[in-house]
Amino acid sequence: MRKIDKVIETIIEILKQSNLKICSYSKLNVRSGQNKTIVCITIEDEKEYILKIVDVTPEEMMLENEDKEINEAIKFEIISLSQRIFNELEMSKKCPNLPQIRMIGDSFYKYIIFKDKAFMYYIEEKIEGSMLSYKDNYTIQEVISFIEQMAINIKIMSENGYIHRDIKPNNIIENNGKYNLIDGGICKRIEDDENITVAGYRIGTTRYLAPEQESVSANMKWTFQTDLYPVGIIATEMFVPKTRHLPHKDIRDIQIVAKEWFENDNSEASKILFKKIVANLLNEVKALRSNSIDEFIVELEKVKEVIK
Amino acid sequence: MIYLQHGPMWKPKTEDLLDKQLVNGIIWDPREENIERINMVRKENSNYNRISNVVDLKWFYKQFPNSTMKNLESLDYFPDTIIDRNYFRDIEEVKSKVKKMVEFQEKMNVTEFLSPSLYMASFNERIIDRLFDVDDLFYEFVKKSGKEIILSLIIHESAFDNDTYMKEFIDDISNYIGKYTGVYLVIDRDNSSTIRHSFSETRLANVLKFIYSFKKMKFKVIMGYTGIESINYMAVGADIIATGWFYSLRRFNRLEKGLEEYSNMGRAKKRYLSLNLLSELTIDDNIQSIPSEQKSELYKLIFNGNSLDEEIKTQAYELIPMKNTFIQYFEGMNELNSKFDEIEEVEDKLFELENMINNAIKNVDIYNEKRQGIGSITKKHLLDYLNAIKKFKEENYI
Repeated sequence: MRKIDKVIETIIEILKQSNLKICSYSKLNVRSGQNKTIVCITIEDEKEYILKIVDVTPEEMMLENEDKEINEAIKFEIISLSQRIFNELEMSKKCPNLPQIRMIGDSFYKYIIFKDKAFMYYIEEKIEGSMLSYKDNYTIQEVISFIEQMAINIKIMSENGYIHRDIKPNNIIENNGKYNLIDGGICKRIEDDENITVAGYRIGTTRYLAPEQESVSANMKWTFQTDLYPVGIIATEMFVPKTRHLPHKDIRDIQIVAKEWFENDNSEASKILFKKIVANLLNEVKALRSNSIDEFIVELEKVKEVIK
Repeated sequence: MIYLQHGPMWKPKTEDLLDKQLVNGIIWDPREENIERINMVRKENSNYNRISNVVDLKWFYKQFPNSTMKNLESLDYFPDTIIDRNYFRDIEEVKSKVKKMVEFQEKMNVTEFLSPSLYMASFNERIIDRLFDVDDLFYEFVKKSGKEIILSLIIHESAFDNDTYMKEFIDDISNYIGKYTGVYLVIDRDNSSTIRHSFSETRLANVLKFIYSFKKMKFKVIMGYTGIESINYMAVGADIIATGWFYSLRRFNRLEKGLEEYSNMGRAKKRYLSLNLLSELTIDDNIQSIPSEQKSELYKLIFNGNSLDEEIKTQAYELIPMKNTFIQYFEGMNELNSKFDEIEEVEDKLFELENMINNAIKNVDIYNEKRQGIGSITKKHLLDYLNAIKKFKEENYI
């Protein structure tokens, strides 16, 4: 049995002891963060949940003898490494559009030390559906519906003081035309300054990064506009299958994208959608994507009316 | 709206324009007149206070060692030394000058505060960081005034050769959303073209993009020192066009405006702004020299129905007062401005503009075809504008 399977088994036991009636569980083979293991658990008389187990082992700990007690310095390191998860949990608590966290006893998360490894784990509401994987073709209405749902997600987060910063197909759950955002692991509170000390640091998944995320400066001011950019890229990839294979550099070149878009569909409705919405989402200049998320939603409504 | 760009020999011309309600505001130039006289004249004539009064501080004159300061010399918001990067090391000194600029504007009882501008030759100059420092300071001093606060920029037109750095600059300006309410932009026009009103299509397209970006960020845009090319600015949403009676007030050029040593001021010709031709015609060569048999046909093409038309038709060139030609220019500019004001969407404004230009090109062709022994009219500027609009529309998916 692999070490992680033993960890899962131990955690399930602990959960059972804390009055959670778990009937079954299965490890999901999904790509997530390199240190994260996802387990689907079914709780009696309830729906399915996701158990997330995150490896937060500091380097120093691996060098320690497993029988040795964990000292304060290592504890501090573990907490530092958990910061990203704290952010995610905090964001979930504040943003009802994101998967909600289920309490484990009196806490939202727990730690387990397993030999020379430290893990943090928590239980999250399972969003029905599967990660967004593009189908062959999307209609204009489907693309608009996607953009609209994402805009509403961004609005909820923004109104609660957060931006997601990692919107990408893997972080979107699709279920019969309904789209939900997940994984706020690198979310940011809007009012906080970037707390990095090294300029040029990247945050997010390269292909879907907004240009301003490619080289983040220490005084970066985050706004909802950063979350709009990936919505533009994903909408493009949905509507224009050819762009799914464009190299990173080209998918960010609005002239290339426009050419592909119009070649794919040169109808009036397609032109309006691109010119009025997608071109704004893909604007290199953050401030020009939209002045406010409400204004963007209003503009989208207008476009819907026109191309109805 | 049309603002008057204040300049030399101003009082009678300004008061004529005020009487005829042809301007909605004045951008005072403290280089051309001292504040005491301006205040005195404003006190005597209530017309001045019906409209907006703002002052372009012209701080950038101190960036040029050989500039002709004129009245600016005596103003206490100018430092004794040249404004360069070293100057900004003394933060207390900068702060005290910014404070004095605010006091100066308060003394002038301005309706909107204009921040001091620093001359930018390009969008990747180091001075830009200092400009933003000054803008931040300025904002702190005036934020509680309850008045609009306008960010002032002066940029050489070659900065618009490409938009790479321009985009970064626009992004930086977005930090002022919610603080500054507008942008006052002066473009230092290149002096190399001998053709009046012509404008490199790439540069003009980028200027339009620049204005359009500010409008998207909901800034009020005031374009300073503009002429007929301002129809392009109006079409992408510029709110206010500032222009003046002399050509030097309709086109800012660093040489002509005394930033560098230069002297070449010929006698101004009397001109007529024809809306059908979107051109400024010389009254003697282009209009009064038309042979009698062609007058009725070409007059129809040229005249807008302004107050000056009859005078040109009936009076000798020498008897037409220069100031009447200025009034006609402002009448024409107001007419153009209200056309665009009535249209809401930028794409509709651009559509209107393209139609106007295409018509003007046709009319210029007719004029040039029919003329006999009289000077031709250039359509170069109109073609420049059309190409720039096309480029702008393509790049902005309009």
